[in-house]
Amino acid sequence: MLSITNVSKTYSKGKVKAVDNISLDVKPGEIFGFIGPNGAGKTTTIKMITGILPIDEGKITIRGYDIAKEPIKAKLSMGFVPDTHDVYDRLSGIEYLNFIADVYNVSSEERKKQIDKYLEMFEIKDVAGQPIKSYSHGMKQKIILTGALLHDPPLWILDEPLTGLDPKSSHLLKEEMHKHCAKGNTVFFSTHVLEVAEKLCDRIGIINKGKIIAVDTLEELRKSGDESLESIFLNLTEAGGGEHA
Amino acid sequence: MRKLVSLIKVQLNARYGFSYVRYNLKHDRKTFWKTTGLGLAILVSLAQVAGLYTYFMKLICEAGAMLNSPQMVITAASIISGLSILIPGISYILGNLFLAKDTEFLSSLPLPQGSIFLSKFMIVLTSEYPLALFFMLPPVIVYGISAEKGVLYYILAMVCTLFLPLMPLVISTFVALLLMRIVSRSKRRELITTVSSILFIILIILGQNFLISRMPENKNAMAEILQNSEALIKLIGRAFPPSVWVTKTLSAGGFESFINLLYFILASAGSLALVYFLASAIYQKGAAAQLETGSYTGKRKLSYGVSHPVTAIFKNEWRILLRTPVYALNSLTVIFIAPLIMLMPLFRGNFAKDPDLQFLYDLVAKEGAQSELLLIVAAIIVFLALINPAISTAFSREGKNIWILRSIPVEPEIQVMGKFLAGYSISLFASVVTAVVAMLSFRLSVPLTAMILILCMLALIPPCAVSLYIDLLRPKLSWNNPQQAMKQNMNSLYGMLLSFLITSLFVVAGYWLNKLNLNIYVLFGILALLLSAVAAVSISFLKKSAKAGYEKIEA
Repeated sequence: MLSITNVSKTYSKGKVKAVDNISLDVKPGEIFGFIGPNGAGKTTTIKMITGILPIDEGKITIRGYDIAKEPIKAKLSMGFVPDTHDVYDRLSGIEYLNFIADVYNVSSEERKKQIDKYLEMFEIKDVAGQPIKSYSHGMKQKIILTGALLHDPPLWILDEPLTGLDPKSSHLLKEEMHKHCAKGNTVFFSTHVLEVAEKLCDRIGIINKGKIIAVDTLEELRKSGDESLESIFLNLTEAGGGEHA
Repeated sequence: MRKLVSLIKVQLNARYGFSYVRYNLKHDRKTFWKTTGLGLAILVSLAQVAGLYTYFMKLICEAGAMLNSPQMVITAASIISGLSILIPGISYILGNLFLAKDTEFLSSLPLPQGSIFLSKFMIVLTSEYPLALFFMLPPVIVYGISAEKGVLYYILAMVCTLFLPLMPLVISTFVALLLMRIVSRSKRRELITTVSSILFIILIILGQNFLISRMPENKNAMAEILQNSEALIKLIGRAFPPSVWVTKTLSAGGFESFINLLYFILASAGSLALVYFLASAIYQKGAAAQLETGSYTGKRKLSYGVSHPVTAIFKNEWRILLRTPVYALNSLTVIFIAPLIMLMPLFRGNFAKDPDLQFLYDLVAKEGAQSELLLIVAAIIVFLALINPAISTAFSREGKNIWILRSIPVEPEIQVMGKFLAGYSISLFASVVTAVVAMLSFRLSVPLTAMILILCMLALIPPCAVSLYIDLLRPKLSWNNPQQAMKQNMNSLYGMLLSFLITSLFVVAGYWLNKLNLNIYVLFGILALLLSAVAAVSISFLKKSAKAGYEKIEA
């Protein structure tokens, strides 16, 4: 579903290596958790996957489409939620969602079905006609999530998707992630909440200082002797980046 | 006091990026020199405009000398400077004081609202100094040389320039403070703010025009003016009364200079003190209203209409532009100002016929000058339609939302076309309004107006394409308030300069074609063909460059 091969990215004209020769394969039907300390390269990696940042070296494919060479086909296959709540706040919720549906070529019937489904699920249908500017952080997150999922993409790329969500919405989203993957689709998401990653993910990738230092199922990661993901994470990241895969 | 100084220092640092410049100077010399070089290039490109302005000031000084009032050049420059700050001032104040992203953060600090207001006012004030200097320096030098003034004169001129932007900004601030306080409870506060601000600007123009139109017409009064140098200064100074104090400070000499400078400083400082006290009482409520999240209630019927991606982007652009007061003010006000000035002679009596437009009235009255009229009116309309910065900041205005455009599955050329059409439609709208008003005001025939409009429609395409391309290449995505994205953005200046350069090329082409004494329809046909070809090339260039431009945007 998602393949990252020898990808690197530098900032400040090559002085800062944000992502250093990483490779990953995320399979259909799995929830993949992407974790790492602040500044480890998670968001940079996600921005390259989604075509927001150009890739300096290497290749990223989504369902076989190279994001650099066939960006439109690759982007049509995924839905993306960023780690910020930046959105057109002068538009109403429904105007924003219609805009997103237009650019993802979602038909009128399909968009109505999908938009209604998520607006009702997140309990924001009543405010969808109001300006996004008047929304709380959590409501903005819900409208961005709805926009990302309304074209029913096979790959969900979610950067800290649970931030700002109330417990009920958070629970519902996690359920949706499971249902989505049960249909053979994929969720790639980053989080700082290790308990969530521990409970939710089929596999976990840990990035530190731009390098992938571990990719495996939780069971395999535990074989190193640590019981919780938190201990595994702390041991790996504080050790300075020994590879485990 | 220490808190206030610290706040002002931080605000100025954040606005002008002093720390960033220092960092670049130490660690990234290449970026430092690139930025410095760019700044110098802008100064050089403005040199021509400054030269032209200096020349006009010299002419005014010479004409004034013939009327025994060479110092009227200072009065004229102070008026130009004051009005140039007053008219757009309201949008600067709204953007910096009420719509800035740091308002929420600053409100949470243990600072009095007067201090927050003052720190933000300082940002606006300092950003007006380059403009004040640009308008004041040439006439000060011209008059200084002609009147053989000494060092004290130049020191006084510097002091006057330092205080000159204060009163116009204070007036804009008064209006903004009261407006934001009044509309704070309204659900449609964006719309009310935009409409009221446009009305305020129109009122300034009408008011100033009204004062000028009260010129004495009887012979005795004119004779008095010609004999008494002060009378002329006072008459001109009606448009902006502080200009009389500035003029007397710089021309009277001795005690009179001193007393006028004192009046000017006291009036400026006093007006600032007044607005400070008002702000200390009501600023926070107006600013907080912009942050309110719960003012919209009630269910609305949702619609699920389908649009083509180009139309979706086009609609998005217009919606955001109309709903953000600063964007609407900057983009739409210019559409109405020029037609308003043209319309004034229609309301005879109370408003003046703009002397700058007299040559057009003469041309309309002249037999067989239809071709010249076609070219000149079309050129003026294109010039006016390109002043608005909507298209040259189309990408910059995305700010942090740029991730949306970068991640959607729409080809860059389609996205660029959506933005192009939105920006172009604003200029086109301006052209249509101006052309219709020109037709009524100058009594142009319908076929001539139609030809003018067609030429404008075509001539606007290349400058719009170039302006958008510049913003695509180097968008200003990091900003604290929408005013910075639009007005404090060099791309709007580059876009304007390049647009005027391209328009000048068309004017030159039209001039040479007209020299061939062609029939007006033949002249129109050739020009329309020529412009169509250039328009097609520019659109094709824009589409082809879109992909490369998009890839360079660092989101």
